[in-house]
Amino acid sequence: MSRGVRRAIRTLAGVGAITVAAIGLWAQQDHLWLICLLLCAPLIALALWPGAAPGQPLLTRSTGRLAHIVLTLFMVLSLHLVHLQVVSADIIGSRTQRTPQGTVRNPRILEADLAARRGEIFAADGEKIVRQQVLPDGTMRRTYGDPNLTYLVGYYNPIRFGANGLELTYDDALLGRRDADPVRAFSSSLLHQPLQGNDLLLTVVPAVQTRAAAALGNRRGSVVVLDAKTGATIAMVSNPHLDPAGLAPGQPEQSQAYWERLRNDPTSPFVFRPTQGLYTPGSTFKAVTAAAAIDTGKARPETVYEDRGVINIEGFRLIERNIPRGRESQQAFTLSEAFAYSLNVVFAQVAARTLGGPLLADYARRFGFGEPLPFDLPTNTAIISNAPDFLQNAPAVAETGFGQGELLASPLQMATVAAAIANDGRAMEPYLVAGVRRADGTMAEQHAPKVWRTPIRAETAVQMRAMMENSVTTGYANAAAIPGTRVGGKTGSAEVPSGDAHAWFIGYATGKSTTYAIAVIVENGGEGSTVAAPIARQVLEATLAYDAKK
Amino acid sequence: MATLTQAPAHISSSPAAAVGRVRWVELQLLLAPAALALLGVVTLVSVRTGQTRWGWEDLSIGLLFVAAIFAASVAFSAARFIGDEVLFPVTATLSGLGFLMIQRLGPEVAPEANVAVRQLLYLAAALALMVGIALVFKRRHLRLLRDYKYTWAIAGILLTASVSIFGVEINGAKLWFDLRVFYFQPSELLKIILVIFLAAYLSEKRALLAAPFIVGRLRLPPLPYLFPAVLMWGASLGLFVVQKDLGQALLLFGIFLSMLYLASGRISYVLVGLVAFAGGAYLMFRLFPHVQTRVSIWLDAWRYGLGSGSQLVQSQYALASGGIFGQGLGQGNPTYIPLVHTDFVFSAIGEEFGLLGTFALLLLYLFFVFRGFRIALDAVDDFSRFLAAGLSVVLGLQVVIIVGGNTGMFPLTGITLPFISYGGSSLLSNFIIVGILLAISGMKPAQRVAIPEVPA
Repeated sequence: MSRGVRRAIRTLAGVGAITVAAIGLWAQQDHLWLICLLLCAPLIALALWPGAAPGQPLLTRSTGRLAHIVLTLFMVLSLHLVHLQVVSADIIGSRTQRTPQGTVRNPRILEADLAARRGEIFAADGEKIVRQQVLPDGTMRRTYGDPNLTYLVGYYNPIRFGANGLELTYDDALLGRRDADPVRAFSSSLLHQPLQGNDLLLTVVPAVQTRAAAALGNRRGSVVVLDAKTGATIAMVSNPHLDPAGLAPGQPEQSQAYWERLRNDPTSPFVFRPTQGLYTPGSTFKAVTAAAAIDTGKARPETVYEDRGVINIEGFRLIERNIPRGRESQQAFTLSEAFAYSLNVVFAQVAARTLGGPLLADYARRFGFGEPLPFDLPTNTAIISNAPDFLQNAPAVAETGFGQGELLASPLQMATVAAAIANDGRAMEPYLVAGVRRADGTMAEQHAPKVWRTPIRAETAVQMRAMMENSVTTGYANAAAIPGTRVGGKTGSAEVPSGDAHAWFIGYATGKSTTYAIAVIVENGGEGSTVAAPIARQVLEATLAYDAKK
Repeated sequence: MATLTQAPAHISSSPAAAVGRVRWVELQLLLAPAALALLGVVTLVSVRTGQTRWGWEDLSIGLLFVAAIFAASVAFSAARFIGDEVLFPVTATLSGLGFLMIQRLGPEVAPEANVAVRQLLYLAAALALMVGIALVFKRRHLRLLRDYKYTWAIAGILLTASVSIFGVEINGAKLWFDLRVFYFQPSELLKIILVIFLAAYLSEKRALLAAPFIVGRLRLPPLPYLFPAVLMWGASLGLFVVQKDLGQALLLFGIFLSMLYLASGRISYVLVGLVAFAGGAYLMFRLFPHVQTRVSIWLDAWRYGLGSGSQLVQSQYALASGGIFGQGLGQGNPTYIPLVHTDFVFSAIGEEFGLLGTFALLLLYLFFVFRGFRIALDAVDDFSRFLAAGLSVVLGLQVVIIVGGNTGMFPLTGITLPFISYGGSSLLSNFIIVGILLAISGMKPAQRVAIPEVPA
């Protein structure tokens, strides 16, 4: 074999080894990497193979070759170390695995998390909801403020229970693993300094939240108040809720007992009602139906519909129960009146005959039904119907039109519906975290208001607002009226298979600087007009008082 | 035809033997492990107390180590020893690093056992043994090893067999004798005995090894190869099964293949041997459940991450956390790895010294092996050439197997990292290797014997 050929083979083998190694490093797969190493070994050996000098005794030659084999093996080892310690180090270091005996995770990460100066969480007016204290002996303790606000943040007990709420979704930012200044992060890791976390600034207003919690009282349900123009969450109340302080580290027996109580509680306190509670919206969905009819031009607030107290839609017999006292003989109502008095027969017609299934479903989707609702906490998606072909028959469409059927929506979802109408047809993306602030005071993240969807035109919104305000001034939403302020709304009493109906109210109120949207639900509370609307009035009053002082 | 083997251009690292010469190169090179030991001790003290102030009493254990290694070198100089001057400093650096890691890990892992002090005592004994062998073992003593090779072999087999009967069981394997002062692992000596036997056997039969053994159309290695080869193959697989120690089997067979290659120069024999071993190992895998569990733990360690795979998983976490620069001596968390001070010191070094540390360690070992090969090339006769090369390969293979096991490249074995793992038998046997290598390097070159060159 000539010198040139030998050199060519050596170069080829070397290039081959590098290529195989690169592929293996890039692919990030355990077993593939081992195979790549196995392939690299002979290639490296070939690349480094010494040529034989003439006349060399056998033992000398084979000793030299044996030395090169050892060298090759060491080079393969070094390659593997480069993979473990440099290229794939982050991936390997953060790898976890569920096994029958428990979860395997890197104990160093937990140690670093526990030693970290976790960020604190502030309400809109600067009040500290969650504080991170450094005790004299150097350990960390997380303490909780207003119990009406702390459950928004969630519990944090990484060893025992994990985390939920904002503590979970913003865990990286609170630990300082995300949004950290890269230079400072590198130097503090070299110096073995603990992680420095970032603070969260929330949009929630304590005064409004407290009022809303008081108004809801002990009843199960939710209150959501949004700034319709920006999407900021002014208040978000959930009943039942858990107390993060009860699950905090440092009290193992009590926290374990509390955890068991929470898990066995039939009212499911782990389900965060505003975002994860899915309810039949009831008559509040009529806002969507009406908006669809007006936006498509198929009806106007003045359009008259027949309502004789009963209707038969393709075999589905519906009895009207909402005709206002004294108007039983009217037998025909405008859309606006039907909206104010929540007339099911009218809306059955609007849905089944004026709109039809596809159009109704389309507008529901435009309002965000069927799509994940973006938010700083996990949300459950609102449902138009369970089966895709549910809305193919008229009775189903009719039922959906007045808010029953298979509809399911969360309070946040319905608040966004009201906010869209209040904000000239533009639904803003709701959010709770205004920004993430670093320890040095600079903002790492800042939420800029974003339009989520535009379900209807501005002109439609104007007409919808007129109908909603009419519902408050003359209709069943009267209990929400606030003298001197324009308040629009729609009540709902959602029929459910067992127990009383859910009491709903969605609406808006215009303040000095902006318009606020609200959704109230009391689970199995009964009638929306008598149960939910008064709560809405109290909360809106508090919101406007806050707005006046801004 | 016979030609004299040429004397290489230069002989080891020292000029022609001048009587009464002080081993300056060695003494200067020993400054490196001395500095490593002292700086390391100061670092450990600082990390432990959180301050940068230290006192002389903190350094005492480091100073004892420095005194021991310099004493060995001074003993060499006083005896006018002309052997290699580089091998011992490399060894001292490795054992210094090992000693440092034992000091770091001992208090956390086994606080009552005083492992650091014990390791120092083992080191002192091993150093003395090394110096003794290097100074006493002369050219004429080679005959003792060479001529009584079968005696040595039988002694080795008896020793191995007896530990299976009289030994104590630790961690599921009967590999140790309880000698009251410490636990003695005879398998550590076995590898040296095997090299001695093979060196003697192969150097003797060299002339017969040229002609292939033809069976029909098959060109097999000649009978003097084939017979011990099959014997070795069976013995190592048997050892593997009986003693459940894959590492030992791998090591022994690896030694055998390497020496086979040395003697014959034919890579084909090695490849055939590898294939045969792989086939046998696969057979063992199919037949024995404990082999299957070892392999499945190796391939999917995370699934057993809270049980038998926890060593490997924690080792990978440790190495990954080391990164390039390491967490710093005393500042990592290697104690999450079970049995870190005996089986996984390499991962502890990887976590605290990073990639730079592990590369440096591998380079030191590589340097040791290459120095050993250099000594082999300059050796006075064929037997000592085989001996030196074989012992160097032993060390190299050991490092590959244990580092490969620690890092997940191979299934885990029970082999120790030479000079670094905690353990008396390991230190003693590895320092015996150094002693023999030094002795060979010190044999007088002037008495080189003309060896008939075997026609290729």
